[in-house]
Amino acid sequence: MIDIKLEHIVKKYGSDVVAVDDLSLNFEPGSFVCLLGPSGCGKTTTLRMISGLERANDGVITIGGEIFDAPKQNIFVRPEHRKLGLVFQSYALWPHMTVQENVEFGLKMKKVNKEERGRIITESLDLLRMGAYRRRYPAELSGGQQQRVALARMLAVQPDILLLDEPLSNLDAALRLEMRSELKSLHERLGSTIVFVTHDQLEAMSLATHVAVMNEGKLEQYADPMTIYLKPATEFVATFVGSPPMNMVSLTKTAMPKWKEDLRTSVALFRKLDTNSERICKVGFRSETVTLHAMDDETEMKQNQTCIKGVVKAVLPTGAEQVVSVMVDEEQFYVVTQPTLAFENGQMIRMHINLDTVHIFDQKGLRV
Amino acid sequence: MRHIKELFAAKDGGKTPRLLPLRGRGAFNPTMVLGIVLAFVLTYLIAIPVFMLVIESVQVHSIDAGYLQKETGSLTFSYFKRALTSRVSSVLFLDPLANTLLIATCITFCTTIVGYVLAWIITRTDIRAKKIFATLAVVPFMLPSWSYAAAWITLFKNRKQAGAPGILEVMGFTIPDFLAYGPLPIIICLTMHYFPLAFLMFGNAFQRIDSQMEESAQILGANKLQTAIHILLPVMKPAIMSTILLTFARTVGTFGTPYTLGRPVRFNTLSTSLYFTYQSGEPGVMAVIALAMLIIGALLVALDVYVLREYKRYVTMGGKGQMSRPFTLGPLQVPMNLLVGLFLFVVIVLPLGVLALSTFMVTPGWFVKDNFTLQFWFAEETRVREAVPGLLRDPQLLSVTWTSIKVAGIGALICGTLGTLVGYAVVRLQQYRLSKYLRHLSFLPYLVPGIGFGAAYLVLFATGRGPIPALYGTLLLMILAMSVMYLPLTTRSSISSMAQMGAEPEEAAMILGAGWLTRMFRIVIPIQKRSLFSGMLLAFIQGMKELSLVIMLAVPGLEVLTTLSIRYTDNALMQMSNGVILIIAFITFLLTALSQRLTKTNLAQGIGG
Repeated sequence: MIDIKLEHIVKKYGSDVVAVDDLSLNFEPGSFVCLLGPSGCGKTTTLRMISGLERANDGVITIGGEIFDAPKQNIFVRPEHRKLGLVFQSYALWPHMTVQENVEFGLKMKKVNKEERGRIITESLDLLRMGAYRRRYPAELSGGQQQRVALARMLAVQPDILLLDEPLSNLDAALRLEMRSELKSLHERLGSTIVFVTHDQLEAMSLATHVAVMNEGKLEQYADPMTIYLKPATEFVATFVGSPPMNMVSLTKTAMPKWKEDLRTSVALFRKLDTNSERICKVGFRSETVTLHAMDDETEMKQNQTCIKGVVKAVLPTGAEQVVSVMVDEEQFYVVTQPTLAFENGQMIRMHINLDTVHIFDQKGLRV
Repeated sequence: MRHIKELFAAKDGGKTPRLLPLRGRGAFNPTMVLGIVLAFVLTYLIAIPVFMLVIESVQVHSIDAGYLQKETGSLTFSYFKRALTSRVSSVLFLDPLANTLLIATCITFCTTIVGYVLAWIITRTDIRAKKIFATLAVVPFMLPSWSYAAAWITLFKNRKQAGAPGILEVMGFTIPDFLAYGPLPIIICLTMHYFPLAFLMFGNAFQRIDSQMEESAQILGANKLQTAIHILLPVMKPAIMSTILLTFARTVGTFGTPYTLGRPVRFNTLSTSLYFTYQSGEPGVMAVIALAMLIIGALLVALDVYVLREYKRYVTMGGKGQMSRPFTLGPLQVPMNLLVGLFLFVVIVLPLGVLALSTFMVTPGWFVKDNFTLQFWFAEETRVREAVPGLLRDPQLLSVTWTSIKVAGIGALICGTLGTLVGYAVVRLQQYRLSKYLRHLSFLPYLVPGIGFGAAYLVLFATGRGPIPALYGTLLLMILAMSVMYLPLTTRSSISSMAQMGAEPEEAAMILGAGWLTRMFRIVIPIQKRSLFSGMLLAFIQGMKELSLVIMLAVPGLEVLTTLSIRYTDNALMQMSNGVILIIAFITFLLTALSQRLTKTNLAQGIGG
């Protein structure tokens, strides 16, 4: 099992486009790491630098204790000598080769003898349940099947590290769910280090042992999925992860309406901060930490709660639950409730917010 | 069909058009009527001429009736014997056949290599000024095909031939025959003219290939060379095969270059031999030669169909989420820029410069002040040959230019209209055999050698047949031939844009109560306007510089610019001939610029952009 170490990696395109900016990350052996972020955040570039398809402008990339890329020391190991696997978003299967030939190619390059090749091909195709399709051409396969072949092609060479670049984004919803569980069990069986790029936060949460959230070339937070969700380190992580997105209220001091003043005061008191602290810039709370009550509802507010009054704008049932959109002045909040609770559009309503799950962010967007 | 699509990089939407014409009780189907009418028209204009050629080659002609002692119109194989087994067969047919195959093979080989390398450099590396290079690389194809031959002869002509010697001889060099005339210069000149075809096809193919395919190979341990051999080359194979077939067909049918450079050393190809047998009054042998060219064309079509089927299993793969990472040239970047720049200079500026320079010199190559002159352009009567006015003072030139514009323009209009209708019928009648018939038939002229097709038209329309009068020597015949020759261009772009449009816009109009004609004029044509227009402009540009087809159909008093230039060459008026080429080039450049401005597209679009 192999670890990956990125130290102060910088990647520029041209003179002024910085794709990755001073990125440092440590991937433990056998971990399933997800690079998560919006498109253009530098996650794919990071993956391509690990694979060697792209060279860093600065920093050091160490894989399994060996330096693979260090521009300052003029060290660079070419991708064909890195012993990794990389599955692309487009799968990039070779259309002129059958499934079997696609899988065989890497083994030929490694000069594996014919008998051995046959054994490995059968093994890796069977692993992905594609054994019956070995004589087909890629154009004759469905998207999900192509995906499996792309995986089998890389697994056949038994790479130390498997890199996946948005491998599920071209699949339909049902197939994506199936492939997710497949990937997870594959990771458990093989035990190899997997680095996975996605912009889908749900995918990251459900698959990874560690998530690295990136934005504009920088690392926002690197932690296990639950920490990312429950204790977002920055405002960006808080809003990017979770669906519906976290409700955010801006509490800059000038000319605030009364409900914001009240919110600020109660949050400050609960967290034992100075009410006038400059550091309370924004507060956020997840939609499931709020309970909704009609105005005539007698339910008392608990000790650790605060209340905001609003108007119901729309009710969006999803079956298992319902999302209620609530307007307070011009600001919109989302609250997840049980589907049995009935609300009407235009109805006045009270939101009870649990103060112990409220997140506070300062001027720089950092968690307080 | 792939060819055209690649030429214009039209993307097929992949939508299967629904079957618009409702089939049911009493449903009158105008599309079907249109399809049937088109089938008759195309059969007459494309299939019948070829059939007539067969008849012509085995039927006694009136001029041979006495000598063959047979009645005019009776069956004979003497023309075939004369071409294949007689004492003159090597001069008439066998040597030209061998020469044609030789030069076509060499040119195809050279253009494929040049086009492939250039397309790779421009699409796949981080060379600078890609867009400019891509646009310039198409320019040689915009020139008349024998411009390079004309420039070559202006430069390399030696004293063994009549007329003024070439620039290099005048400057004191002695040019051996093999360098001045014959296969070597023909191959070089036509490579310069035809490489843009290969460049366009490869450029578009490279652009569409997912570079992650190569990266996957690299990750799995393949080095650059192994990746190029095992991945890139096989994936490019369909594009390479189409390019080879197309270039081969074009070179077999080309006339101007072998005529200019081959004649002085009696190096004949099928096209020049066909022309000479026609000139010397041997219509039967001419028909045999034309037939041979059409058979070569038919073989190429068959090969194309076979190749297409062979590759169908994998050419349909569309790359998703592809991104092109350019190959870094590093320290080679500047030299590579210079090299490509130099190459384009040699194939564009140099020949045009030589042609232009020659028109301002009494004796090209003699660089003294008195030798420079404007007379070839502006004199009322040139000193070189009496009674010949300078080009811009020549009333004949104006009328010939006008004829050229009429032939190419009306031809393009008919070609565009016919192409759109065929495209419509092919897409909308997809469930019928008729659709396939129309598609294949309209594609036929694409791989058929131009001069062979011209000969077939000559034969079909030389005399009146049934209700159709003799059209030989009329403007109409030239226009007809032109519109059929370029039909593949407009049909293919129409088919792909019709398929892309889908049936929905028309169905929506149908539901709102629009009849067939209303839908055609208010919905289909307005939507197709742009692709229709650019298709017609392209046909127009091609038509302006077409020689092989019209050389058979031009008669004294009915000439176009291209045949005029050849006539000046025949009369050893090199400067005048070169001047006419420049005029043609000027008009085609102007039209190209205009079309780019109007349609906001260009041929090399996407390549390097």
